[in-house]
Amino acid sequence: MRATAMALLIAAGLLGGRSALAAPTAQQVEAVFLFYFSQFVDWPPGAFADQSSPIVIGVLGDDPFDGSLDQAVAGERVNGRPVVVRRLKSLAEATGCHILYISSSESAQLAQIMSALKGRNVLTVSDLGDFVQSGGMIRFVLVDQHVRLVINPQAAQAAGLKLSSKLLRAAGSAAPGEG
Amino acid sequence: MKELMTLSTSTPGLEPTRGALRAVFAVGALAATSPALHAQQLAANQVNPLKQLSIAQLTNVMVTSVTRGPEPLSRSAAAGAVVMSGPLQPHRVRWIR
Repeated sequence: MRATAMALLIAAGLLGGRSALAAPTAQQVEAVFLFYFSQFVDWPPGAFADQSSPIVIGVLGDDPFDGSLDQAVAGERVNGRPVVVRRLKSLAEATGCHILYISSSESAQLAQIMSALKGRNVLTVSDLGDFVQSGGMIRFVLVDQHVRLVINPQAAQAAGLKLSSKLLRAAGSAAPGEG
Repeated sequence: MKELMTLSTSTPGLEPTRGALRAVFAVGALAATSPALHAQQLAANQVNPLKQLSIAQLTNVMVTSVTRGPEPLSRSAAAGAVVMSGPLQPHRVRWIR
């Protein structure tokens, strides 16, 4: 009995050590933000095929989230809609996306991407330095080891999206020149 | 494994050991699960507590420093390394000031 208890203690130690909680990475926090955006943004009814169509989060380019985004949306429903993640190699695959995270791997094509998305009901998100300046809507910024949001409400409004006051309060809104 | 099980079942005094062996083998099996599964578990462990926070609280979460591109050395986080005596001995280093 004692030997069994000892073995179980070793097991707990081994497994506990493997999954010990450390400070989250910026990408893990950003993944949860991306999921939260699905709750704090209103899309026009025409953005969805029907009442039960999913909210689609697209990741354009290299996926920096390492599974965190899938975990953030796993089993979640927002206003009765499931939330799904799609990895996109090109902008052409972004049709049907409601939130589009533009990875840093796409920095060279940012201007073309933003131009192609103009007028579409897509919430654009990135952590690229000149993102808001380029017409992007939400930029993740790392400030003193905290992930902050820089929001460009005008760009969201132009795309027919309504950002909740909670989201705007959580962020510092930026004029297009600031982000 | 078969030998050990036979031994323990045929020797009443060693009966408790069988449970311990099973537990140890279970640990081995769990520890040997694929890295992908481990990464998924780790991501879930980190992400699920974050989902309990409000969006405002999420902006106050301290994160580990990660850079997404090249940055000047003067702006990068300090790095430290522990050097043990073993690697120094071949160089006949006796002390470091």
